Amino acid sequence: MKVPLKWLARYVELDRDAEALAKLLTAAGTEVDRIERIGSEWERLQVAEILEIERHPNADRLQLATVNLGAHTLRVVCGAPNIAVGQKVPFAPIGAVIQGQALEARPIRGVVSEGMLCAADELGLSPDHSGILVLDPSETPGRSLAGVLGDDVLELAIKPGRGDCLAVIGIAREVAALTGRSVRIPPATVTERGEPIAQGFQVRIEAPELCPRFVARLVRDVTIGQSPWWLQSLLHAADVRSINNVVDVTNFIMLEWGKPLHAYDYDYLRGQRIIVRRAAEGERLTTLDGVERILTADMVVIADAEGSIGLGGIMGGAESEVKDTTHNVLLESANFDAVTMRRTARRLGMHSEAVRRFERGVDPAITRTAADHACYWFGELAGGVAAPGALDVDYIDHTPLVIDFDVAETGRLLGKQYSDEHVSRVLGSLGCEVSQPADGDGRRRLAVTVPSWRLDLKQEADLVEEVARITGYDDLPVTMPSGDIPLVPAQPLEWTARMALEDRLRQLLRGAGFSEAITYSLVSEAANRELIVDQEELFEPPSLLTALFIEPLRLANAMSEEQAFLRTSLLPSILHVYASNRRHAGGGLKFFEIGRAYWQRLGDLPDERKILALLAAGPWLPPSWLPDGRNADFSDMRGAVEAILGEADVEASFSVAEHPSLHPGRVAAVRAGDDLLGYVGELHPLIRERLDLPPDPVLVAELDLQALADRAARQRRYQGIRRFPAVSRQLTVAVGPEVAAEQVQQAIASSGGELLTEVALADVFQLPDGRRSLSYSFTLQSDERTLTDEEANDVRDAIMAALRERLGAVQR
Amino acid sequence: MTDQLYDPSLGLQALAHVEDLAALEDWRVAYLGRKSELMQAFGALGQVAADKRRETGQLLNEAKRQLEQAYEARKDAMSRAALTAQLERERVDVTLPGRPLPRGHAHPITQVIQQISDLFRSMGFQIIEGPEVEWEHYNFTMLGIPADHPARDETDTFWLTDKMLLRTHTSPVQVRSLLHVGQPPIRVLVPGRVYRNEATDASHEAVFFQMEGLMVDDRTTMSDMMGMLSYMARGVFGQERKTRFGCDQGFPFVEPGAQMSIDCGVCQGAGCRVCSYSGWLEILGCGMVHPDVLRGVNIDPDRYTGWAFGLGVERIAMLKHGIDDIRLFQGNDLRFLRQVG
Ligand SMILES: [Zn+2]
Repeated sequence: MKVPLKWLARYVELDRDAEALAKLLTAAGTEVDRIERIGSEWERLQVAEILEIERHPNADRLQLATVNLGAHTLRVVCGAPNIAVGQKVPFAPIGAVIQGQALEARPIRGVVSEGMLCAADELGLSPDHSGILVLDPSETPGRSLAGVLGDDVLELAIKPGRGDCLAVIGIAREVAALTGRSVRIPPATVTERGEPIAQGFQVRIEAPELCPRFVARLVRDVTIGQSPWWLQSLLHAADVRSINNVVDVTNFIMLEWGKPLHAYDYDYLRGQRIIVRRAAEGERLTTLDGVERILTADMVVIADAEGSIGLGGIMGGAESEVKDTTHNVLLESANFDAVTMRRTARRLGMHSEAVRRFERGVDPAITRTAADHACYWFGELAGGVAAPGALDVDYIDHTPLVIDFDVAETGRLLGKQYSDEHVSRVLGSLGCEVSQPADGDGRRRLAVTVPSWRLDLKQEADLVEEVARITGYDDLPVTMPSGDIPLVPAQPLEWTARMALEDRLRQLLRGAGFSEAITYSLVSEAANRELIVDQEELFEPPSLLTALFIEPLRLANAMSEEQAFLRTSLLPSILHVYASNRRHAGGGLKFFEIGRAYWQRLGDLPDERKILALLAAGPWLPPSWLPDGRNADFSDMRGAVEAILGEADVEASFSVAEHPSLHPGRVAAVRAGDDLLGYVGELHPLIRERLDLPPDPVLVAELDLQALADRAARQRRYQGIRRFPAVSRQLTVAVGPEVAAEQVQQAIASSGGELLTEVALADVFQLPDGRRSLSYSFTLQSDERTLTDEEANDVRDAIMAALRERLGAVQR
Repeated sequence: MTDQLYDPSLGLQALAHVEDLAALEDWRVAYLGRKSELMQAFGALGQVAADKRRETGQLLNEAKRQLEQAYEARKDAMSRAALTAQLERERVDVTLPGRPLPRGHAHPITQVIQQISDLFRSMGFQIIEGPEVEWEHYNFTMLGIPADHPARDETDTFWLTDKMLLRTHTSPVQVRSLLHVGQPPIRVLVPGRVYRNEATDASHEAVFFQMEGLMVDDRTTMSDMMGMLSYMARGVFGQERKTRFGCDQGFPFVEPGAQMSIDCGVCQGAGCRVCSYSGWLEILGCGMVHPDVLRGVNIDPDRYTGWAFGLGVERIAMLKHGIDDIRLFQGNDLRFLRQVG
């Protein structure tokens, strides 16, 4: 909503400049986004008086005007036909900037022009280029043009609840309340003549639930033409296109009062009547933009005796519109149901300034007033004469809302208790009627009658806001919350545990050189597909190993194909982070992300899994001049995952697994018992090529954070420190290639007995015959005695026997 | 010979010429060893006349003490010199860079969330989460924005079905937490991702992070809200920052509604490009929970009051670090993360 201050000043006295006004309005909730300065570029422009007009010696269509600028006279060449001696017009001297260009002293058809007379478009006031702008005859020659026509325009962001502020008068009411002034509404004196409208014409509302009030007025003998420049520039400043004087008046009233109107060519209306009804299902109507619309039964149409002539509140029909040949105008001022307006406009894609107002609610009390004001201007600007009276079909209950207001609510909600007098004064300044009910029961209650235009004031809290915002929030004290700290958890406890784990893992990973990434959760359709080596569906239940096969949720109204799906895995995201950084960063890259993946569920919100994704590629350690530049490999990433499991306090095992994006020989599932916690692996070389990544191995892992948190040991108990010395033993075995290290480890753990306190894998190497050699070192300790060599050797032998028996291991 | 007195000066003179540990050992054997002249003199003490024996013994002891002392002093000096030489050999160029410990970078979004969470935790707030994919009912209707209300136009929404959407704010978690707890008091803080279906540019993202705070109690007021939010602003931006509250009628789920601004840290309130020459930066929207929202979760608005706020995490981080493009946050360029993480 744009409000030129000169327009605003017609309704309320302005006692401060645009900035101060903007601050005041913004603090009170009517946000001023911008102040536009009309005339800020007119630095050297002046008012000129035309003294003499001669014909141009060399051009029929040009004239030479001698103009008085107060101190001196100049001669200019002018092509506009509308100039006349005695007129006061805008004048731009040589050097002045007009429409972004400096005027030069150039001969025009042989005569040098010493400046230029300006039309409205050249001044940026309106698009009108039909002639030189003619100023008020009382203006003084030589006066700066900015002083005459300059203005400041407030650009306001009106919130949905404040439909009343989509009107200059509405803003005037705000200003009046904030500055302690009163609003002046200019009277509308309508000259009436001829036969009353009620003689012969009828209005009938058949759908009062969609259109509860319809006022019609008839204006005869209008002359359609251009609006005067002041109206054009007001509309232009408010971003409304000028059409002709009659349509411009209806828009002017809409901007002034917030009440949309519609003008029909009276002589087109068939059968002397207007019927407001529901559209028939499938009914067709060509609106004045020339588009044929197909209507539904929940829309409201305006019809004459023979058929529909307009889509109520939205747009008139093409045939009944006001045109150059129109002589008589039937003016509609109606109220429409807000939801109906909104639905119709949305369905047909016909948003307009009128719809904006109707869907927010229009003051039901000004339907007639707005029509009268329009009739006044039809008389002033189009020579029309109103027919006596109006047709006013009104189903609205105009009983005002009275709110029983306990003034103590100001204290309870705001923290500062305002007095009856203060509250009454503030609410009174906003147009409320405030009275103390006669039967005062000792409580300080006020009966507040809400003005018809404040459809947003419904209950006490609304009145508290009015008191606070007009008084100013600065008036409130600043305190700290007191009261009991809530003890009841506000979300499931396991979520809280998981969030705490997330914070700890962030610390851990940062300390291990991983940088945190936060990526878009919306991805393209290709995101998953391009990470699958073989397009072979896995019909397993959804898990981190199969997440790339889960059908992603699709947005119904995505902005772009790039962000049309909710991701099912963080793997595409973290690979993208790597790929984009790889372009400019050398050395090792290590990233993690803690984010959500979204797995569809039938008929319910999706399963939002909180996932930790890790990626490392290139040198594992930070670059330096020291020789540590080894590339990250599977063991590095597995080590990181083990550290995470340790931080989470989860006992987990690693086993051979399959993942569609990973190297088939270098991927492990991480499980606690039977529950999958996640995976760790190396990116498949084909995927690496597909993504155009460098040849360094790319290590990745994904872990389900909720599963990790749920599996954490709840409580740790102190076990005591064994006081007797520890003994260590070594054992080196050879096992076949099919035996996994994890199996050996498990066999050792289960056969070692209670003296075995620690097992560490000390060395691994490949034997020429295909077998592998694994060296373990054991720590043995008793909490009762010092172990003898024999006891220690017995444990080692028992372990060796178990390995031989279960895994075919041979001692080396 | 027995008459002749032992003279240690010869040995002391010889010691002056000893240059290394091997020579020192030779010297020790020669002058203090079993076969040295001194030791032999001790051995011959029995043959000294009884009346002179005591005196001779004292002289010999004195000579031995002198030689031993000189020997120890010499040895000390030599090993100190050897150590000095060793330390000199071990000298490194201390100006060379160290072997780096791995160090990753924190994401600025996380940092802001953690910092604000800590401030609220200290006031008894619980940090909670909620779903990003929401029912329309929680995201709009229960917050006083029914279907066909123009306020729905204020936020461009991503829809999945006609009932399911991507939450446009963290406010639905308010409703969920109130339903979870049942009855006040409640103090929660909700960080999380939100979605707006709008074109991205340097100051707009379709996917970004918000933090929502909510307190409901039988005696909390707008003044408390202003106090708590000012405490937060000073905690995040510095103790010297000033805050200011103005009316905001744009949030249907609060009444009265407000927005908080801080004085611009770039120009100290004088007005600059960052603050659009106003001296103030708007950082969050807030207000008293609308009575209809409380009624919707079966809390009696005549008995309890509540306040809530919502802020954009990226906006806070941008102001804190002087970041001029919101798209950097989810771009994850290490050159960016290194500077602000
Ligand atoms: Zn500034």
